[in-house]
Amino acid sequence: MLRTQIGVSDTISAAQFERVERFRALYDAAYPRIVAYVARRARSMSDSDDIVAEVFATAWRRLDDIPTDERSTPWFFGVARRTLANHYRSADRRSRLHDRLREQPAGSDGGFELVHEALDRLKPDDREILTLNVWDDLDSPDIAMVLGIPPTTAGVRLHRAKKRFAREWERRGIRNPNQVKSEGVIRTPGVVNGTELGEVTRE
Amino acid sequence: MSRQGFEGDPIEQLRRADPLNRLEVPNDTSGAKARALFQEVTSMDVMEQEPIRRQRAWARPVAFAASAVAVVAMAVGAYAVFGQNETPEEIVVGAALGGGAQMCIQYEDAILLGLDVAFDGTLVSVETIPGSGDIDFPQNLATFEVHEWFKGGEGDTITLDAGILVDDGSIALVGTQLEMGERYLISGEDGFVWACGYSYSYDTEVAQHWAELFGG
Repeated sequence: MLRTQIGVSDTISAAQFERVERFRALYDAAYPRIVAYVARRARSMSDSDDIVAEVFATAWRRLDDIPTDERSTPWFFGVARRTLANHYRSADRRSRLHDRLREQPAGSDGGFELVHEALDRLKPDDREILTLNVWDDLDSPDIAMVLGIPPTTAGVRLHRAKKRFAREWERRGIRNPNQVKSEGVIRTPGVVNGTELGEVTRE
Repeated sequence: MSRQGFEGDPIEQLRRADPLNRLEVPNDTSGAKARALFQEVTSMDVMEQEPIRRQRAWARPVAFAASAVAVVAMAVGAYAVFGQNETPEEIVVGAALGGGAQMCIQYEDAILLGLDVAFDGTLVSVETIPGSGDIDFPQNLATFEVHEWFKGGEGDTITLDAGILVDDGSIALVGTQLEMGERYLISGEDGFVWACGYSYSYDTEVAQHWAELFGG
């Protein structure tokens, strides 16, 4: 008979293993989208790493609370949103953005700047719901879960945000993109969960 | 107002202006960073209330153990009992891995059966890839010449991350530190060698058990 030995304190039970595997399935599904969501809104990739880690640490602690159906994705987004807001609530608002972003060349599409100008003109709530839908690929019911509002309200807000963005877009549409001087600036939503993140300007 | 020079749906334009297009983000969890975070998180005590706070998130020593064997850590083994021999043959197993690598799982045939690969093979090379960027720990990619596949895989060789199993300073988890030219019974998943109770120095009894277990 062969036996491997190790201290009892160094073992975990099959139940613990099952917990790890349950978490693994959720992690595999959520990780890329949460990394993307946070990276779009964090001021630096270092911040992004920390926030993502906190999100999944929270998920690990609250594994039994995570919905087991399609609602698990918005659950993660909701945690990420709160974590992001908490992170910047106490953080130095003057922090510069990550060098990596600075090194990125400006987009060849001159409309890029105009799009972000139009986005900046929206109210923070409109920006958030719009980018959750368009960039993070969440539909109204998912957004409702993330924001903690009724689905119908989410649907109405999203519809209105799209209309307002379209109007802002129209206003900028009179400018020829070829005449727009590219400044290589990226702007992302500056308010998350009601918390002003400061000017989130990526250059 | 008109949109001179700009055609198309404004929402589509917004989609194209996603700032993330300019970044590198993972599409899945196969990267070292994602694996290390997984290991770090699942090594946490679930009762722990303090959120993860990092100064350099991926440069901590524990990350080495995490990467070393994301799942070796979980597999570090407990009691693996094979065969009917009344005289136990003890395989010395080290537990001095540090960090999350001390989290172990009791051996079960069912778990071994569920792993991606299991084979009888000889270690023919080890390539150490130094850490870079945010991943400040090395990978030890061990290539085995496969004599027999019990599960998964194909061809004559397989390369897995053996992590600390080939590190000079480590204590072995398979009866001995992995050494070039030695023959082993190895199981693995997600590109990592599973240790302790799930991988061994070659032994005919264990090989027979694996063959029966995997229906070979």
